[in-house]
This record gives sequence, structure tokens and C-alpha cells, in this order.
Amino acid sequence: MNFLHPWAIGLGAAALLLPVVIHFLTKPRPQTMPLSTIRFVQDAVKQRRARSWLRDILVLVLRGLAIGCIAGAFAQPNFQSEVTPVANAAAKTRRVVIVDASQSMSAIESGSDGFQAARVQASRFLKPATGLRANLIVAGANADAVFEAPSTNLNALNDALGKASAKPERIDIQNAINAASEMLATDQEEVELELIVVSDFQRSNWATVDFSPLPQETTIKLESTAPTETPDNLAILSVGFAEKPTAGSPASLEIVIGNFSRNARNVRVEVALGDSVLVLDAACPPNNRTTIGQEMMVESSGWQSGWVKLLGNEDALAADDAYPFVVQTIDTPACTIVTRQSPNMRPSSSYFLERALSPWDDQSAGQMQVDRIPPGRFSTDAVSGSQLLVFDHPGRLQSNQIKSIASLMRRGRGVLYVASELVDATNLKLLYNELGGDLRAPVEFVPPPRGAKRRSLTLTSVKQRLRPFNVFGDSLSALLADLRISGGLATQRIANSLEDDILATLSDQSVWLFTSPVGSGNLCVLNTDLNDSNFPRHPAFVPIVNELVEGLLRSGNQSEKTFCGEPLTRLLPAAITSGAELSIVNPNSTEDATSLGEFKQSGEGVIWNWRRPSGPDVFEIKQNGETVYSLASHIPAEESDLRTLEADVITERLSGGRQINFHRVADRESGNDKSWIWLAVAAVVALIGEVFVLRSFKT
Amino acid sequence: MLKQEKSRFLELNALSVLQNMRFTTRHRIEGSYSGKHTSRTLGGSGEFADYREYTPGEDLRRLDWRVLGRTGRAYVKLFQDETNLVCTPVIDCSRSMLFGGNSSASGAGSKLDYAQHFVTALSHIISFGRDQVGLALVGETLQEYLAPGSTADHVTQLHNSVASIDAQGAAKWDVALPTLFQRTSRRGVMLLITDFLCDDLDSVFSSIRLFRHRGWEVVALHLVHPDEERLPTGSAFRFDGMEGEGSISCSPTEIRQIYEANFAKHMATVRSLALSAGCEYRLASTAIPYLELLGSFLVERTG
Repeated sequence: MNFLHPWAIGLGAAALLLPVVIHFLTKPRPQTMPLSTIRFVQDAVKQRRARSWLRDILVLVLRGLAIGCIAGAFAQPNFQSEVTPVANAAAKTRRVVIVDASQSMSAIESGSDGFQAARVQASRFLKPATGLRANLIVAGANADAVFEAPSTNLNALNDALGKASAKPERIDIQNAINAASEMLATDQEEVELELIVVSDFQRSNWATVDFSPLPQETTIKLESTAPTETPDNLAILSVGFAEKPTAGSPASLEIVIGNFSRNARNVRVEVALGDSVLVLDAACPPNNRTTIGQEMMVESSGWQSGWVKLLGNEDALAADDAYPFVVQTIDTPACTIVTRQSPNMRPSSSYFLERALSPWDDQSAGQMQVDRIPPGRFSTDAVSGSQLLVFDHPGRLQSNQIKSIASLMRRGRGVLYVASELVDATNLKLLYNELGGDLRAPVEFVPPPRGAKRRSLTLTSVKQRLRPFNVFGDSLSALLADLRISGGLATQRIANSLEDDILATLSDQSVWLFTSPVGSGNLCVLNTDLNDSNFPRHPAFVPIVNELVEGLLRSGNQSEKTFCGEPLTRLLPAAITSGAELSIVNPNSTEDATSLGEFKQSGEGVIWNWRRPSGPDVFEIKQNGETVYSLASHIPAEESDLRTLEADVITERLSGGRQINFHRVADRESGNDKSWIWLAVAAVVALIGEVFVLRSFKT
Repeated sequence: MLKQEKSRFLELNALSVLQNMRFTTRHRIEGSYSGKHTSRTLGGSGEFADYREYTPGEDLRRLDWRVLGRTGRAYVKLFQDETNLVCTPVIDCSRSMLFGGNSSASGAGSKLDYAQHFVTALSHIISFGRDQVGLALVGETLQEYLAPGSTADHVTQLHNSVASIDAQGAAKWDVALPTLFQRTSRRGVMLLITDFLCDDLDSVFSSIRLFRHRGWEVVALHLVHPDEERLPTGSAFRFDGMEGEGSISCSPTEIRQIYEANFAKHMATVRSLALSAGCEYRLASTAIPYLELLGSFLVERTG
């Protein structure tokens, strides 16, 4: 027999003294009184004594029994016999125990959480034995080993195991196995190697595990603490605005809720952003994700933070019922047109763009502020105040300028590139190279084939339901029928690229317009020469340009997520030029600022490095008391899906041909070791019996 | 020279209403002097009582010559002597008699205090009626005995003795009463004032029977304090025995019923033993004013 919570036994033993202590503490102080008839009192007491003695004994026994049963129920005994592997006393053993400390291990099922069970199970493998050298890895996003190599100091391992707890992280099990394989590697012969993994074997974390780094002779034992049936769980998986909100304008907040249970659930969600609090109701179908959309008005500009919480939700994992989020709102957007063309040159493509972006001469409220700079003056500092960059006839851009553009895009800037000259193909090629994997452009631009004239091309394929064409509705075809496009570059499709990013193609099969996300920003390429086309004079010109700009300003990957425990490297906005006066603050706690990461100056700007982000929570970077950047850390969404891998999947498909012993922790495996319930019932019966005895002996 | 100070237990104003009442007895008594009570002896100078046929050898002075002359039959005239009453209050001076006192110093409100008031008042009334009154104080021995007397000095001395009672230890009735019996020669009325809280009631009444055999009239005045009849309310008490019985801690609530049953049984036993010994039994609660008790006692006796 063993106990899931052995501390409760000690507590119960101490509590057994409680009735005696209560008896003495509540014993009334007798009032002294001389009495002439004390002989009658003595006779009466003598007569009562036998009866009282029997009553007191019965009450004491029943009370002690009740306390013992309550302690036993809390301790959750396991009467199932199970085989605990013990190191061969005659042989030397090197053993590494990996304990899964990911968030899913704190899921509560039948009154006990998985990590408690894992702790008990792991402690069996850390019992002192002759010739045993062991090490413990508490595995979350990082593999935290107690010692660098297996040690005979098992007491320290048990202490570390006792202090360990589940973390709001996902497990990087491969990292832990790699670390274990290094610890188990030895040149000594006749040493038994053992790897013990205590985990819930959550499907999302274990699906790609590879045991091959382990020495071939390693005995692998997997101890599963997962319950037989997947516990029901409801979680907030993601929160974010569909588009970057503008101060004072409504924006659509999208909340993704995962219902990882067999039944449909009605949920109530509380959204708190700044001073605004909303309560939403939604129905979540079983085993599915539900997106709730809600218009929210963000009144002020700058960084805002908030929380979304599930109200009245009782499920296996409480930690994922709350989700922090941050959002940056802009007030009046600013745009910079980078062009070689003179401002006085009219008509010109840049002039058309400028007028489309800022139709009125006076700076009306809400109208975009547009600046023009020649390519030679373009630098990160020169455009730090602009949310949108427009390149039209920029000529050949320098490599450092390409790097700046890439850096700005990664940090959330939108770029509209009007490709009209041959040099633009070169610029875009360099930009593609600079962005690397951050950009998944659908096409690349090449010079048109010799002799091929790009004149009076028509639009042949338009994504009618997407921006910027969706504003025209059903009249789009008629509207664009007389549109003639000239100039621009030929395009070539890039293999494995997303076709959905192509918004319009021309009659020569070249791409006229595409957008693609880059980091937190967006790249949009308009493949045309505005001077030669009738597009600037077309009624659709201003609406299309404005819709494109709106999309570039408000789209972008806002929800670049930061997960607890996983290294964070974040390039801060271009407006932050130095890390000298920056400070990191957690508004919800008094966490030491030094534990919240550090700033590093790089060529692209200031980088926030944080080895192990805590949370889930909101963190703010302050400069001169003003919030210049906010970040929310989250629990990875896959931790909410508590489905586990079947034993045969691990032992056969993932084993890589190795012999793997898979074992479920007895009480959770059987699912019917409910002895604690019987102990609780016995405690109640004992208490009822005590009341009955007291009533029976009542004079 | 006796101190002539009035006893603190003597309340003359209160007793004025009872002063015309007399303490009498239904039995014939044996007194030293002529008085108002019927004597056990039939003398020749008292009130005519009856005729009886002459028996040869009798005193011819009592022969009724007139009847002999008229009828020729010899009859003797019988006369009832009247004598004074002799009353001896016997007070229990054990420590249990101190129960109910407001303070240990004065003992006011205790059973002993009640007995002191009662005996002082009764002795005053008896002496006022030209009868003789004595006193016996019973503790572990016969602490004090005052032979019956009726003089003012005697009564004053008696009052002083009553006022200066010092209750100590337990009453040893089986020692004290036989001693008293030996020291008394004349019959009279013995007024036993006690709470009967002693170990051996049988020996008490065995001693009383000695007096009854001699022809004493014994009145048992059983003093009970109200707080003895029922235990105090409260969750925990430590009761200290007043006569060295030790202490005991208990919850009165738990033993109340048994205690009251035991006490009632004790009172019933005392009453039964008293009546079987030929005593007049009277239960007196200290809750009743002693003058009221004395009044009813005298009214009953006056008949």
C-alpha cells in the first residue's frame, strides 16, 4: 500500500491528538464550592462513572476513527499491488528519471492532480539502493536536471522532487531525452542504464518523440499518470483583434475557446480591457474550437492590456481558463512615400499615390499624414514615426536600406511596393533574401520577356471576397471591366507558396497584386506602372489604395505569441532606439525586474531577451514612465488538450524498435481504487455514530 | 459574674408577638418545681383527677372519708400534680451546619445560624413561661452541656453559649448523646436540631432511643438548606466536603437527578427512623424564617 499524499498521514496522526487537546482546551474551569451533602454527590458520581466511562471511550474511539479516516481519505491510499523496479543490488545502475512538469500534469481528475501522482511514482525510483547513481530531470520547456551527471546523493534528488511542481509550460520531451542520453552515456561496462519517464504522455507533446539518442542498452520505463478516460477541459486558446484597432473606432476581438470534452458546453466569458468589461455567452460544441467575435471600442491610443476569463467553469485544468492579451492602438496613422520622383512632378505615380492617401490639402481629422522622402534619405530613424511605407520608383536600394525595410516589417510596419521598373525586381529579390523564412511570398518578380509588351492588360482573376475588392460587392466586375494595366514586371510562382495571398492576376497570367505577412508586418506588392495605366484615373483607384493601406495598417501578426518557459527574443518597435532607459514591469505582481529578461542593442534595434518567460501574465516595457511595448505570455494551447497517447502507440510506433516498458500508475490506471471514498464514508459514519452515542447517553 | 449583654441572636421585638405563647408538651413530664405542666406524678395537692378503690396499706390521708361515710366503700382521691417543663435543645455543631453561610466568618444564613436564632428565641420563650431550659452542644464530643435552669442568669449564659458556638469537624452522635444521657437525671423534652448529615444514622437513633426509654420526649428538627436540595446550575464544579470528605469535580448537570433522588431518600430515611424511634419529626427549611417556624411549632404544641 502506498499513499498519494503521504503528508496527510502525518497530519492525521497529529490530528488524533486534537480531540484530547480540544477536551482540555474546552474543559470548563471548575467553580469551587463547599458542600455539606458531598456524600450524595460522591454517590451520584460513582453511579454515573461507569456509564460516563463507556460513553467517553466510545466517543473517543469514534472521534479518533473519524479523524483517521479523514486523514486516510486525504492521503488517498493505493491498495493495489504494483511492481516497483528496484536496481539489481549486485550491479551498478545509472538511472535518469524524467518527470513531466508541463501544465497538463496539473489536470485534476478524481480529486488528485497528475503531478502529485507523478511525484509519488518518481520517488519510488529514487529510493536508495546499492550501486545506484541517479539523476532527476524536471522537464518543461527546459530540461532542468538536478545534477550534471547521475549521483549517489538521492536525498538531494528527493528534495528537488518534493519542491518540483507543474509549470505553465509545454514539455520539450525530446530535449529532456537528449539530456538524459548524455547523462546515461558511459564507458563503464556492466552498468545497467535506466531511463524512467513519468508523464501523462499527452498526445500533442509526445507524438514525435524519438528515443534513438539513448544508448542502445538503456532500459526504458514509461510510467503514465494519465487517467483512463480523458478528463473534460475547456480552455481559452487564443485572444486577439482581427485587425489592429484604431483609437476610438470599434474593432473585432476574436476569442478562440477549445472544448476538449465529449459534451457541448455553454460558456460565459468575461473580457476585461482597460476600463471596459464585457461578459459574453457562447455555446461550444464538443471536441471543437469555437471563435467568439465581439466588437470592442478602444478609446485611447497606445498599448493596452486585458484578460479574458471563463466564468463558472469547472474542469480538469483551471490554469487555462484565463488568458492575458495586449493590443496596440494607433491614433492618426502616418505614411512615408519613398520615391525618386520630385514632389512637383505632376502627374506622376507617386503624386497619384500621395493624393489617394491624403485626398485633402488640409490635415483633416483622421486623415493620414503623408511624407515624401528620396531613397537616399531612407533609414530606420527617418521613418520611425510612420506606420506605412510606400515605395514607388525608389530606384536601386542599398543593402542596408533593404535590411532596414526587412527589420521594420518584422516589427509591424506595412510596406506597399509599387513594382514598375526593372530595378524593382532586384530590390524585391534582395528583400526576399533578407526576409528569408519570415516571408512566404507567392511569386517572385522578374523582368518581362524580351519583346513582350505589358500594355493594356486586364484583370482576369480577382479575389472578390477579400480586401481590397470586397468593398465593391457585386459591382466589382462591371467596375473593373475597363481597367487597363500597363507596365510592371513579369512574375514567377514560387513553389509551395500560398496562392491565397494572390489577390489579382492579369491577362498575361502575371500577378497584379498580392499581400503576404512578414513578422508583425505585411508586404503588399502592386505590379504596375501607374503612369502608363488608366488605374490612377479609374474610379476604383482611391478605394482600392485606401483599402490596401487600411489592410496594411490594421493587419499583421499581432498575436506573435510568447509562451511561458520558452526563450523570448523580441525586436522592440523602431521607436525604441536604446535600451538604456527601459525598464520591464509586471503590473500584476512585484516580480523582480531582473528576472524579466534583459535588453540587447543590435544592428536592427533593441532586442528583449528573456530566457524563461514567466506567466501567464502581461509585461510592459516602460520608457520615462510611458508604456512603449507590452507583451503577454501564455500557456501553449496544446496543453489544454488532455488526450494522451495509447500505450501501443508509444511502445510500437514511437519506440524505434526498442523495448519499452509502459506502465500506468495503479490507482489512476484502474480508475476504481476508490478506497478514499470508503474512508470518507467511514469518517461520516463515525461522526454520526458519535452523535448517536452522545444522544444515547444524554441524561 | 456573667456578662449581661444581650445575645445577637435574641430579637426581642420580633419575639414580642410570641411571648404569650407557651411551649407545652402533650406528655406528662417530670419537673423539679410546681408549674403549669402536667406532672408524671399524682400528688395530693394538685387538681382532683379521679377516684380509685382503696387498697390496704395505702396512705389513709388520701382516703375520701365522706364517700366512705355515705356509701361504706373506701375510695382514694387522686390529684394531678402540675410541674414545670424541662427542655434541653441539642444543637449539632458539626461543620456541615455552616453550609449556606454568606461568609465563612459570620456564618449568617447558614443552618447553624438558623439553629442559633431558633434556640435563642425558644429558650427565651421557655424561660419567660417559668419553665426550665438547658443546652447541649454536640460536636465530635459533647462540647458543652448546661443543665436546665430558668433564672435570668442561666438564660443569659445559655444565650452566650449559643452565640459562641464554634462548629468543628463532624458530629459524633454515638459518643455525645450517651454522654448527655449519663449527665441528665430528669426527664424532659429534648429538641434535637441537626441536619442529620452523618455517616451512621442508625447509631444516632440508637442513642436517641436511650432517652425515649427513660421517658424523654424527643423532637427531631431536621434542618435543610434549599441549596442542599438541588445542585447549583453550571457546567463544572469542584465540591469540597465540609467535614473532611475531600473534593470531587463533576458536572452538576450530569448527576443532578441521581443527587436529588439520593437526597430525597436520605430525608425519607431520617423521617422514618425518627418516627420509628418515637420522636416527633419536623422538617425545617432554612428558607422559612425561624420565627415562622417557631410560631407554628408553639401553636401546634399549645394545642
